[in-house]
Amino acid sequence: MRLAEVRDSLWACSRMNKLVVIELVRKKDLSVVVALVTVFVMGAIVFRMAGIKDEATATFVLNTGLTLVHYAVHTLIILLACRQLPDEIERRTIYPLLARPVTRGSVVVSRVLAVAACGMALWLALALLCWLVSPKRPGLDPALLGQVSILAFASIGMATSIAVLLSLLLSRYLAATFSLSLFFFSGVALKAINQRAGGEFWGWLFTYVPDFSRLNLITRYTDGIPRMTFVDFAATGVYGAMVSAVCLYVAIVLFSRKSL
Amino acid sequence: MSKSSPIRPLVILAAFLVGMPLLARRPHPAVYEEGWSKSPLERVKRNGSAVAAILGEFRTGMSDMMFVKIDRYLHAGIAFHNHADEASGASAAVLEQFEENQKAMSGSGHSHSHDHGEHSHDHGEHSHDHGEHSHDHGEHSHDHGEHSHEPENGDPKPLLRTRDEDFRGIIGDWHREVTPWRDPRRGHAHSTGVELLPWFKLMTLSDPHYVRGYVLGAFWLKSIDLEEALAFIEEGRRKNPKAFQVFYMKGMLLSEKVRRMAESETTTPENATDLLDLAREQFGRALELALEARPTSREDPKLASWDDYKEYDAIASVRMAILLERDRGRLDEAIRLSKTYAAVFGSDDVVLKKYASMNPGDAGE
Repeated sequence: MRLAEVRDSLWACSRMNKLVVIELVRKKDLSVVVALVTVFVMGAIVFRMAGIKDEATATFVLNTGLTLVHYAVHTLIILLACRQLPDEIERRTIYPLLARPVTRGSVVVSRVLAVAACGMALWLALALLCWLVSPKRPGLDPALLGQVSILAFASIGMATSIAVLLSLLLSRYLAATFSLSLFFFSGVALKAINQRAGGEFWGWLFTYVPDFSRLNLITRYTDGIPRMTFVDFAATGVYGAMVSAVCLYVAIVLFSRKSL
Repeated sequence: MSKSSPIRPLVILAAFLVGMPLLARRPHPAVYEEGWSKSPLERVKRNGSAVAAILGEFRTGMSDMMFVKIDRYLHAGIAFHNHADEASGASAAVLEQFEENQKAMSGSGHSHSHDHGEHSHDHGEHSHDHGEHSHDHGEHSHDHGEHSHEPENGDPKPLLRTRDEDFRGIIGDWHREVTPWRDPRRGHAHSTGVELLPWFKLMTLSDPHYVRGYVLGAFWLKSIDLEEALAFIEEGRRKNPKAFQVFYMKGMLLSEKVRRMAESETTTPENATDLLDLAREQFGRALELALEARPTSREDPKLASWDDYKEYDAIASVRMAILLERDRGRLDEAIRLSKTYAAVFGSDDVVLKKYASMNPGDAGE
């Protein structure tokens, strides 16, 4: 991507961000997520006031809160990402957008960045809220919490890119179904396939299927496991970034060649 | 975009094709062997908490949720209050069965006595759990078919109350009609265990380091297909080479295999000896690993991941090794093992106590 395209993307992104936020609020999806988290927060506060007797339950509450936020935000941004380009095309609002001095690639990049930025901000705000109200057990590694957040951001970026790519290939509903299935079940399915298939070839082939469970360290954090080594952490981050970049690149190519 | 160099897609494709397998070869960050959520004691506390009761079957992990499912399947769909004896390990049930196996192998008949002497099962609490076969003190069946248990003190109570305790009157009657329910005064019934097997499989698929899933899954699977059970526990051994409980269960399955072969007269003494040697090796390995993982003092950091349930399973491994040696006529070795491990575990266990108090010279008596 040339410098001009990057500049275009940033300009478009700043505009898109506002649009995405407006859409997020209008569609009421956000209200559902916030309502869910609010119920959890109120419950956690009540439990803390009543007194949580053992550390196992405290860990359980913290894990439930963070996992709830992680799953809810991913679901929200996948649904949001799948609507971005198909809705613009269907409503024909894509034409005035492309009439501006931006490339098609910039439109895709800006959409992905805007949705991912909303998702990251939401994840951070809600996870912080849940973390603050949940009881914390001694022995939790704060550095691992940082790793949890950074990899959650990578996971959000990956989910957004995949959802946008699939929305250019399939109807938005199918794209959302595939993306959500990939997010929720890829980890378990890949483990099962690797265990059953056993062979080197299948093991190698399925490494190309994005595995979201690699980027979810919440249970590792609440299980009292130490932080990842820098090399492992960096490799996991690169994994998320690589999948996102490739999906984004393919999405740009597809959208650039799409007949509108 | 379209004007970009044709090299770029190739570079991206090559980076993707080479990079993904390389990155995927790194250790999976969400897969690890220890962890608070995997401790049976923590599980019991967590599932017994008010938070868990409110959240129903939503649990920290898939395997945790599946354990709740297994409980329901085992009790024919009837929901019981959380019963805290789940973590007594597979030892309670399998020790009992081991005694049966040994009797069958030594040709001493199949009668079973709970005389609380050498063959007593002093597990501290009545075993009634996912995959654990409780004593019914009457007719004793080892086919793991569907069976009922007379009510006993300490039995778990069903979530739905009895008519006498239910203030809802006719609404309560309807609720009991449309929901799986059994009057606790009639005891409780266990299903065959066949229904549980897919859950154990799913449990270990979702978490290959969930050792109890392998151990209890193999325990139930053996009633249907012993070879499959051995294959399942072997898979568990490959995934968890440091988990002593898996070796312990493999030893149990091998001794069960010898018993069945002896019953059907399809084995030669040499084959049986080889299998028993292998079983003894498994118990020995289980002991080695248990001692590696077991804390030696209150200050030992290993204490954090060691609980009473692991202790029970470790002691059960010692008992198995001792009883196996005894029944193979190597009483001196049984005494040596008892003395060694009684010093380590300081246990009040009947078997350990009895043989530790003997001297090698007593072997001839």
